[in-house]
Amino acid sequence: MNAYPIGTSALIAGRRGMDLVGQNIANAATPGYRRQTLYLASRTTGVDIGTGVTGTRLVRYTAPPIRTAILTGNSDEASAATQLDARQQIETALGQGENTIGGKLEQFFNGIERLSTRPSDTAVRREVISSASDLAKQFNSVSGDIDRLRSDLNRQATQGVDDVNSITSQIADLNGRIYAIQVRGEQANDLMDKRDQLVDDLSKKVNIRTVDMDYGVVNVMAQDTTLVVSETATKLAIGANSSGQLEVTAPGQTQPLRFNGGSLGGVLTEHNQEIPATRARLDTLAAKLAGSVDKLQATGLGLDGPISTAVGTRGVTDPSQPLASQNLPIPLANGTLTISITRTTTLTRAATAITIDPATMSLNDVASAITAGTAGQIQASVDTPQNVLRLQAQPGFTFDFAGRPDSPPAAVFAPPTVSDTDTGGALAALGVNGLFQGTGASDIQVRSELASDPNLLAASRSGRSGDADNLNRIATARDQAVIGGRTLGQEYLDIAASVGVQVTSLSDQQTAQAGILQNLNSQEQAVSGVNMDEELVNLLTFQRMVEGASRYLSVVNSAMDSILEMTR
Amino acid sequence: MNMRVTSQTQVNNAIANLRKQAAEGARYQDQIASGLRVKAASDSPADFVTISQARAFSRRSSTYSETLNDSTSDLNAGVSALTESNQILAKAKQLAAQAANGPSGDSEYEAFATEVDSLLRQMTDVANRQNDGHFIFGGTADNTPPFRVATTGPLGEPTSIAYDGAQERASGRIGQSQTVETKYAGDDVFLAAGASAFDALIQLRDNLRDTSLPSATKSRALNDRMTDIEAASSKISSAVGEQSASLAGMEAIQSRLGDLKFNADVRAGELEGTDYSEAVLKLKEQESTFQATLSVTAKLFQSSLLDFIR
Repeated sequence: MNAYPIGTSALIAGRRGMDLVGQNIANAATPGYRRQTLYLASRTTGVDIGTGVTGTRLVRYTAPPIRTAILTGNSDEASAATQLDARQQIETALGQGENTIGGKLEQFFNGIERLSTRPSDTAVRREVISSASDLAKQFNSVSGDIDRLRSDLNRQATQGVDDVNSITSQIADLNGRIYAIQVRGEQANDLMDKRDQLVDDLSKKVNIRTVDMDYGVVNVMAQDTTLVVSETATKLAIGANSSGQLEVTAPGQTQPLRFNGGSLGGVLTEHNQEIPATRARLDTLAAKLAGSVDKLQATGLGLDGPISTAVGTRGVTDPSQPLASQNLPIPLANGTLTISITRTTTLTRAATAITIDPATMSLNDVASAITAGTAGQIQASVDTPQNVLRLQAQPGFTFDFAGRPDSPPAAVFAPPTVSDTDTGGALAALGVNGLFQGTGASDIQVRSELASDPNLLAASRSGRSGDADNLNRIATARDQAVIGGRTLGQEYLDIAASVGVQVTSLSDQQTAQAGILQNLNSQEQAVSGVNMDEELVNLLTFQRMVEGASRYLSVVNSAMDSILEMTR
Repeated sequence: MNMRVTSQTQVNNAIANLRKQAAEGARYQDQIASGLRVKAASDSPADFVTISQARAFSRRSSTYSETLNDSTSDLNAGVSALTESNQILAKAKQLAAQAANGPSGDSEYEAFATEVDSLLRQMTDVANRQNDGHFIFGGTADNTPPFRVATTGPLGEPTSIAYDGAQERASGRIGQSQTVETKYAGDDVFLAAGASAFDALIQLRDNLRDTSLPSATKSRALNDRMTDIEAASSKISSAVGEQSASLAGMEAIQSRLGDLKFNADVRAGELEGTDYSEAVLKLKEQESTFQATLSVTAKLFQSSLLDFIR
């Protein structure tokens, strides 16, 4: 008599089905939930003797090829989004309109042009120096903002590695639990959902690929290392190397890990490559500006004529080693420095040429050469600990680098006869008598002596109050191609435009990736998502099944009662 | 093709679309509110470079306008002073002619001499003229008076004028590779060998005052002085000519600069500014699309099987 087992099996299957429908409906909005259904099959014993229905297996609907594509899409999109964010912040730091390095550069040179018709006018001189100061401050502020962004990214990277470690250890733990259940023959669908969701989260942090193993275990690989193998997670570490680059390492790996995707990948690329590249361009621009303008300022004359003291602002690391080995940011070549010394009592002037060869001469050698070459009229020395050059004229003498002819008193003021008094660029390289001090975007500023005394701005090379010859030279420097065939202004525009192009390109990439992901997610949802109406229809089916089975059992019971009646 | 659509898909798609449309709408709103289509390089990298260069050119042109004004002012003062000098010389020549033609006594000659002394003083003042606080005939030495009385005679009258200025003319920048000479070297204008206004006046006065000269010699001397004055006047006139030519040239440059600046501003404005009609239309379009999406999204979730199950 199979009636009872048959009926009971229907009840059991029906209840199980209803539970599953309930589970699906409850988790319709749960991210990463894969819908489950019950496969029903009829039960038989022996040859074709029906014993009811059984739920053979619980099916979890997944779409592995789409999932793989989604993991790749996630890391591409996250990487593009992270880099886009950083680039946009750099663009904001660069500024807009006239509040940019380019704008301030134009203002400075326009001021020089303006001064050319009234070179001795103190108010206009102050304006020029003020605009030079604004320019320097703009360099400082932009580079400061970019440096702060880089520190932020450092923190984000560290946080990212912590997150990765946390996720991988959770995945490893779930792998273990899933294995334990599945190896017994049961199904661990909810745990697998949870594990797959963690893998999805992980793919947004770093680019990964997965390998399915037996019994529901999934191994996760990054580009250069395994991250999760069965129940073991690889713990990543992050630190800075000697050049300030962030490196992620795994135990057993000698080389730092590379990440081409994910938010961590994006942060590392920005921190280690893109930001330093942009920063280097700004530093080069600042150094080129200082180098060009300082040379012209140093080889000119202020309103008060020759000077008696000059202290360099750019030092070397070791004053006893050849200058060529000191990695000076503003370069120095083999050349001749022409110093003109004026005897103040008679106003006679004489010029001396000093050879400066960075390949063989150290800073100490340069100081000795100047002292010897000027017969001690200029005492040159090296100030420690900054290791800068100091030139001190003896009492009764003053000096300059304007290249005027030797003179009897009547020709004190004369236009220069030496066109380039510093062929090797030593004055700018060592920061002697320049307009700026500092060598890069973060430390460039107007030399403090000039800030307090605008008369020191070298408008002429003759010493005449109305001579704007040196201003002419500085103004012409604006239009010279000094960086890769570009002028200073054009170089700035190129930097800004490059960042702009990167922003546009990354934005397009991110939009495209987001679109692709949306598509892939819809496709995956089509297979594993919960459709409310479908589930409700299934619910009705199982409801009918239970109702039918109950009624059946009830009828069978009454039939049994009648049979039992017969035996009394 | 698998046509199965789940509620999560609908929700995700709705959210993604609404976000996209809201972002587009915000972009047009920003363009309209700020009036700028291109604010940062990423808005349009190629246009950004053109706009920046046009604006820089415009500001640079303004600077040249200012230097042109300064230079014009200096040269105008120069022309005016030189014209005055020529008038002084014309007066002197007239005096010399008068003295040469009519027979006169010592006292009359003395009166002429006194007048020439006065003309000499006027000439010195004119040669030491300033514009905007700077001397215009000292060349690049514009902060100190270029001319001084070097020696004086027994009556305190000037017997020689010395030049303390520079030999080089001062020039100012009026263009990318253009300069203009504004303050001339006075010794070339007023003290040139064989054409010196000061020497001519001094010698004229001396000749007039010299009572030892017989009248025929005096007449000849005065005629020679008139020739000297003509030579000096000619030198001054040629300086006037040079300065006037520079002025005319600068006027042309100023006018062209104005046109170039205007063109640059227009170009920058066209590229940088919001096309209001386009932005407003696009914004309206976005708004209606947004509303349509919202209403469709609401409708999607309205009917389901739940409404029909008892």
